[in-house]
Amino acid sequence: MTSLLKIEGLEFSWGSNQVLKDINLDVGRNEFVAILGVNGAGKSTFLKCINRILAPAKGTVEISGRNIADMSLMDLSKATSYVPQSVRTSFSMSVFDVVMLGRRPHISWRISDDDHERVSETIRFLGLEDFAFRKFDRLSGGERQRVVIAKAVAQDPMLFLLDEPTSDLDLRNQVSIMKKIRHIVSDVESGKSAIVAIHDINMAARFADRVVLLDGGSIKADGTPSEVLTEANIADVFGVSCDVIPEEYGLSSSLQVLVKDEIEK
Amino acid sequence: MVQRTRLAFFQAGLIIICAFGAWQISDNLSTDEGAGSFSIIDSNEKVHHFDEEPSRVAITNTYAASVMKMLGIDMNVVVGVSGDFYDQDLWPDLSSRDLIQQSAHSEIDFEALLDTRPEVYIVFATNGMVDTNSIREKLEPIGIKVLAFDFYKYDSLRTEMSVLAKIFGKQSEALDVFAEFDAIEKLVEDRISGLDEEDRPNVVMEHHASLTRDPVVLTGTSQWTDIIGMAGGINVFADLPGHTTHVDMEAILDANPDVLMFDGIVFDIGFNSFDDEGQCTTHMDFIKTRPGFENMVAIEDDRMVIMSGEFAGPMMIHGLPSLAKILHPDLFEDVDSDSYIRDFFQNYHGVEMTGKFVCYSAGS
Amino acid sequence: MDSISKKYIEDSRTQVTIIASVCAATLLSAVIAMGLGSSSTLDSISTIKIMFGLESGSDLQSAIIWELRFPRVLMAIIGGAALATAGALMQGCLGNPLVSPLTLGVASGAALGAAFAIVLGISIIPNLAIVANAFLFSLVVVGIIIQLGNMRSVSAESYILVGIAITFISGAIVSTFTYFATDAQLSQLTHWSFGSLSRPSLSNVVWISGAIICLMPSAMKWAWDLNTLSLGGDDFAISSGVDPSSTRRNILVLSALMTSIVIAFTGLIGFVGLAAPHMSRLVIGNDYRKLIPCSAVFGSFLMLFADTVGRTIFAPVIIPVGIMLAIIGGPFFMYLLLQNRGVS
Repeated sequence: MTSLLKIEGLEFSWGSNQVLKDINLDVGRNEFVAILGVNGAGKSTFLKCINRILAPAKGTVEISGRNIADMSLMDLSKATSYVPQSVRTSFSMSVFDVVMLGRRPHISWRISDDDHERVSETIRFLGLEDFAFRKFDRLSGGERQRVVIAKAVAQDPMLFLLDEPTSDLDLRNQVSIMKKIRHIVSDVESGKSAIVAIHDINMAARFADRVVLLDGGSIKADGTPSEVLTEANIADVFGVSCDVIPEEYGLSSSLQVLVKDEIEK
Repeated sequence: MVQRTRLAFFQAGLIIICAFGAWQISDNLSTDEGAGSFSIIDSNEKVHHFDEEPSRVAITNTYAASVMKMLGIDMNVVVGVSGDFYDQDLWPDLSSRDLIQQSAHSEIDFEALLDTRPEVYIVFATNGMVDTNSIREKLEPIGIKVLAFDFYKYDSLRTEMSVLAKIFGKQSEALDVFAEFDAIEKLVEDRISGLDEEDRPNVVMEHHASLTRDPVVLTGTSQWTDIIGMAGGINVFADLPGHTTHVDMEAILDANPDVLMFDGIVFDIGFNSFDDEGQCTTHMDFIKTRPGFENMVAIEDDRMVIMSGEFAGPMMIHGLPSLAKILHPDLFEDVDSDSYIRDFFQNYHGVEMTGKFVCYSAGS
Repeated sequence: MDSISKKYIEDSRTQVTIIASVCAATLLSAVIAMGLGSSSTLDSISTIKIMFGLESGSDLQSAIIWELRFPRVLMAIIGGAALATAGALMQGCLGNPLVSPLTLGVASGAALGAAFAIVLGISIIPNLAIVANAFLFSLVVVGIIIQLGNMRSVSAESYILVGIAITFISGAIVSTFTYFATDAQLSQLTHWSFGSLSRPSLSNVVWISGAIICLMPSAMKWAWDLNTLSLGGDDFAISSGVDPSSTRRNILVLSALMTSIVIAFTGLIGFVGLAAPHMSRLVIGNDYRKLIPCSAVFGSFLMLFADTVGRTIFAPVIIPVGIMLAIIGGPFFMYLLLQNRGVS
């Protein structure tokens, strides 16, 4: 079975500053991959290289066996959808309209009934019914984030790329969103996967199947949460001492990282 | 908070003191001219005191220069001119004087001006293109009198000429000129005084800023309203405010004027200009093609007139018979209207009248 | 179909109804405007009768109706629609609500072209020379926009900055001209820049209408992309399948063309390109599939209203349409904005 996403030898620099060095990654179907790393490790850059927001200096990215450089932007946006860290806007559209933008790759001009249905479903799925017709720019940061995620979901891609989708959300919504991504990714029939850049180690540990640890632009570790999130790795990459405690939660077996203190350099 | 309020009051007080000081200084400057042996008031109502007639004068518009010639003022007093005096036939003595600005309305090269060390600078009083006030503010503090005279408005022409005559001691010459004016005006007035309003042709005069379908006409305060009136015509748009204004073409159609006039400044007519490219005719042909104009009286009777820029300045009285003859050919059949223009150029400029001064569609 | 979709579809229908109503109001106003003018030979009723063939008018009346009033009214509708659409397109693709068709430098280019024609001695006669030159120079600006668009990593801000630079440069050159121009040329240039709908003849207006009507579908084609671009910046656009730089370049070229076709003939007319899209947004939101037609009809209505008032209120004196737009539209626009504060 071809992997959904295959990255080989990816490199990216901002000027003389090399941000990503020789990244190799293989993501199959129904995988929830969490990307962890410190600020500036290259998490956002990595995601942006996958959907051609940024053009890598070297390396290839293939989605379902096709090189993304050979795909049109429209086809690429059918294959992957992206949730940026923040969406700035000077104009206001209703929430429904913003989510409808996710259907753009599938619409030539007219919106079909099917499109209407999908958008409604997505809005309900993400619990946005109460403000489906409010203006996007009048929402709080957290509400906006959920709307942008809804748009990405409505886009119905094979691969989700989410850059810190829970940064503005309250605790309940954080859990809710992660659960929903998990739910989408678990549907074997659709075979979708998600790559999520995230700061919250514990959320990553609870919900992701796989954790990729980025350090200084390279992949330091790639595996299950328990394989990757060791006290040594965390100390090395994040510069904090911690205790890693295996835990059983209602949702999945996982672990909990209890951060203790900064490590003096 | 009290601190801030105190500061605010202190600042306000400081500003008031400075403003008062500045006002005092400028007041002093303007009255600094001293008593002088005579004083005059120019067309901006500024008072100027003279100890004696000036011997160094800067002038930049040809209307003022014409008036000086009409009054017989010695042109050697002119030390600085503008590029408008390029015609060597008309201004043999002035075309080689020092240039202080490009044209009557362009920016002054103040250094060139100061180089000529004038005592007096003559400028337009009410021309929209010239900021007389700011010129005054720059030059008067350094002792150059800025005399504001238009010499292109009928109601103020004689007054302004009298004032200039007073400055140069040419009052009797001025009276001679006025006598000449009186004679010409009387000639025209006598013949048209008996006319009723219906006998006076309706005239629409367009400004040079008119575009083909976007007419701009001369209105109430333009000197042409007076000139047309004195020549026995009526400016249809005389009661509209200002000097010029955009009008709806429908209004011109409505007025159905007997004569159409156009501002001659943009045409190659006037002294030493002969309309070589036939611009007059081209323009008139074009006017005929305006929508609805075919049936206009002025077009059907073929009465379109373009008069050169000289007629809008001090030559306006000498030009009166020309216009009167066009408006009332029967009343002025025996009058050689060109002779007055010839006299003007002969007596005041010492040159032959050469050039095409009037384009008239029905005549030559 | 569930309730959310139903509500959305209903809202869409309402919006289309609003657009259709404003369109109808504009057409009605056009008929009324045809009946208004300073000629005493025509009153409103007879004008309408003559227009619809119920009465035969004299040659003069026909000339006034078909060669003076009709081109003017049609120019107001088409010109207003074109400038408003151009404004809406530009605001969306540059992601900035403050831009207008005059921002990109197109208008300054046209003014420079007109100045060349006027000052280099192509005098009163066929102001076709002025039109051609104004259009030509604005095409040069379009060319600059295309070149800019082909460069890598050019952002929305770059276009705005280049537009400002072009405006300054053109302004400087025009100032130099005015320095050397004669009185007459200065007046002509000043009056040209006021903007007037009476300049294009009937055949000119028909040509302009044809051109704009051909360009409108192209504008609509970009509606979805504009929705994406205007909402959230370049990253967001790429992730939705829209290439921001080529899309931006194409949309701006389209706006510039629409703008230059109009102002080459009429001179500079501002305000409508900025205000009509904003007014439309207040009524209909930011979905470009509806915003473009709504801006167009608002633009037509504004232009027609301003021009008609400007030529009747102090008849026969005409107050230039650009000035009337600002006088009427400005306060009205302020009122609308203040009404909408704090309303979600």
